[in-house]
Amino acid sequence: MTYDLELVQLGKTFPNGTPAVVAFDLRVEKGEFVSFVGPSGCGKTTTLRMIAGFEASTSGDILIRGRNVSDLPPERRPTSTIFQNFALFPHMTVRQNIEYGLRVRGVAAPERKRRVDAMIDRLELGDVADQRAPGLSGGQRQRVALARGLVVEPDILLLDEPLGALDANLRKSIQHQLKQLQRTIGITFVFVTHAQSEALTLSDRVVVMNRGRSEQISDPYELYTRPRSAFVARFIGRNTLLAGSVAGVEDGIATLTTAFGPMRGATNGAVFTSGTAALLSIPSEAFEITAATAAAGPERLRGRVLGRTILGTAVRLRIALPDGQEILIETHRDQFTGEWSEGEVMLTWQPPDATVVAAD
Amino acid sequence: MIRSALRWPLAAFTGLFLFFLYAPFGVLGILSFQSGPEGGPQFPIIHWSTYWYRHLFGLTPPSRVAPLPIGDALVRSLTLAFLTMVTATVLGVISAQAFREKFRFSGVVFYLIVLGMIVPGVLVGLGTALLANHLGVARHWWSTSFVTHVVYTFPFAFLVMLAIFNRFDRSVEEASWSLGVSPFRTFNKVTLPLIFPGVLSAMLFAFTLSYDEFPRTLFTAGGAQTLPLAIYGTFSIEIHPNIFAFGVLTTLFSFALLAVYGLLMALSVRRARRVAIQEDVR
Ligand SMILES: Nc1ncnc2c1ncn2[C@@H]1O[C@H](COP(=O)(O)OP(=O)(O)O)[C@@H](O)[C@H]1O
Ligand SMILES: [Mg+2]
Repeated sequence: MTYDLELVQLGKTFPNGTPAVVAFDLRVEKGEFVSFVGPSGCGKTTTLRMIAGFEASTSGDILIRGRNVSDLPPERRPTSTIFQNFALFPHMTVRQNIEYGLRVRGVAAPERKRRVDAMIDRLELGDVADQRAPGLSGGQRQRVALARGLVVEPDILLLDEPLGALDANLRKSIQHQLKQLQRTIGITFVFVTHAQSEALTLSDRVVVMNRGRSEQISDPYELYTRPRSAFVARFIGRNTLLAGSVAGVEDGIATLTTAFGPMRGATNGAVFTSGTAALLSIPSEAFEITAATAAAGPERLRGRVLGRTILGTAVRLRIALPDGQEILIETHRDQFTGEWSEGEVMLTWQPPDATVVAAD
Repeated sequence: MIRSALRWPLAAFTGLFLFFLYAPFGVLGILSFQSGPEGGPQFPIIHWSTYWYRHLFGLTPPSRVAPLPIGDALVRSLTLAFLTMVTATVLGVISAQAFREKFRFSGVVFYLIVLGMIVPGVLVGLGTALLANHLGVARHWWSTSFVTHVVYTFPFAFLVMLAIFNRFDRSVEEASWSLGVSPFRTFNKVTLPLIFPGVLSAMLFAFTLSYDEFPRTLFTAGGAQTLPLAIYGTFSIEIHPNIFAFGVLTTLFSFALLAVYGLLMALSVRRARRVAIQEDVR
């Protein structure tokens, strides 16, 4: 089968020697919403710009619907890009902005008008169609950018932190609209963000990037519950990491020897030999809190409550582990008893809820 | 404290600056309205008259003072300034566009271009004349002078455009490419409209610099003179107030040029301000 987008060992080293992207492999099916997420400087924008054709790759290939586009200039690739600052043409009205691509391509006036009107309707830009771009609000400008990019019917829409320029409240509602839009139009979206919540909320699949490499490509649920590397365990969600070495593996559950005694977690298909250094990643949600008087044993950590915050139906506790690590745990208010509010507690979890990853 | 202490010296300085800037023109203006044709420059004016303005356009009866031989020179200078303006601005835009990307030796090339502004004009003119003689090329205002004018004004146009491109957000160009528009058409439809204020400034620079250029033209113009040469030529005979009248007119012409520039600029600044608003919101 052909994929909408295929990156094969894609790499980019800048002339100054910076290896921005290294051996990047990715296959995206038609209609997928894929996000690249990672810390600033990890190569997300560079990858996106290579797909768009603004930046030449220094190794590997880019295929769009089976066609190798690696050597095509941006104007001959079936992609549209939405920039973080939206990059609207300030000397044109909203309608002219949207019409621009079709007009320059020589699409006949009646069809052009039909397609532009449809796009103006779809993105609810009717009221501002004759205003110039710079007078618009952030949300409006974002919709104009989307309309302008989509009206030329690209195979793939590339979005570089398109919500970054909007204020927090607007971002939430636009996230929803964006997902909705992608569903109805059905084209492939490749979305870059440094905010994991955006990636997890919007995407069918998420690529976590670190130092130019893709660390893990998973759907949001798996990514959140089953990190496959120490980097992902630290970057995504709120995990507590315990260092240790593998003592043995049985039925997909590894036992780690840690400073707090033996602890168990799922290997999630990874292979570990005895004695290798590893990390146990325990999601904050997997912890159960019991009284400090409970007996010590596997999957038990002693902790000291440092403070609490009431968040409506939940209570957030700040707890110090014996090694000095501080963790935040949210627990339902019903389960919260006053006796933990100060002093010692015992934390437990189910081994399958924790994941063992190789140490870095 | 320091602010108020500096206040009066600064005011005095500004006053002196304005005085030295405009007083010569004021004197010229007053002198141009004396009566003629008898008598040299006199101050203060005894009889106010527009005689010398009429004399300039050949509307007075023939007299001892010959009409200024500037009609053809004026046409030549305007033509030369116009050609220089177009050529230098086009070259300035193109080369500044090239300098948006770093290329090999771009630093060296940059300084070589800018150095052209510093080299003494008389030397450039003399050198060009010698070179032309050596190569057997005849000197004319439209050939050798034109070349020296372009070489002289091009760095100004180049620097103006470089400053404009420095602040130019290239993502609008990328957005255009991404919509399937070739770089060439993108330049015409997106880049050029947005850098237009800069292009206007470059044009104004090139035109005015060429229009009153003297040292580079002196040796390169050949037989047919440009306006600054022609005017200088009349000084060596005898100075009559018709020169002053002409000075007033040509200054008014420059002001008109500035007014046109200001008008066009205001239009594109209105647009630029909209761009600025767009950038603030982000
Ligand atoms: N034009 C460039 N020249 C040299 N290095 C660059 C250039 N653009 C980006 N980089 C470097 O490449 C790396 C990846 O950058 P980028 O893709 O912008 O990261 P991200 O979008 O994930 O924040 C960074 O180390 C950055 O400094
Ligand atoms: Mg980026």
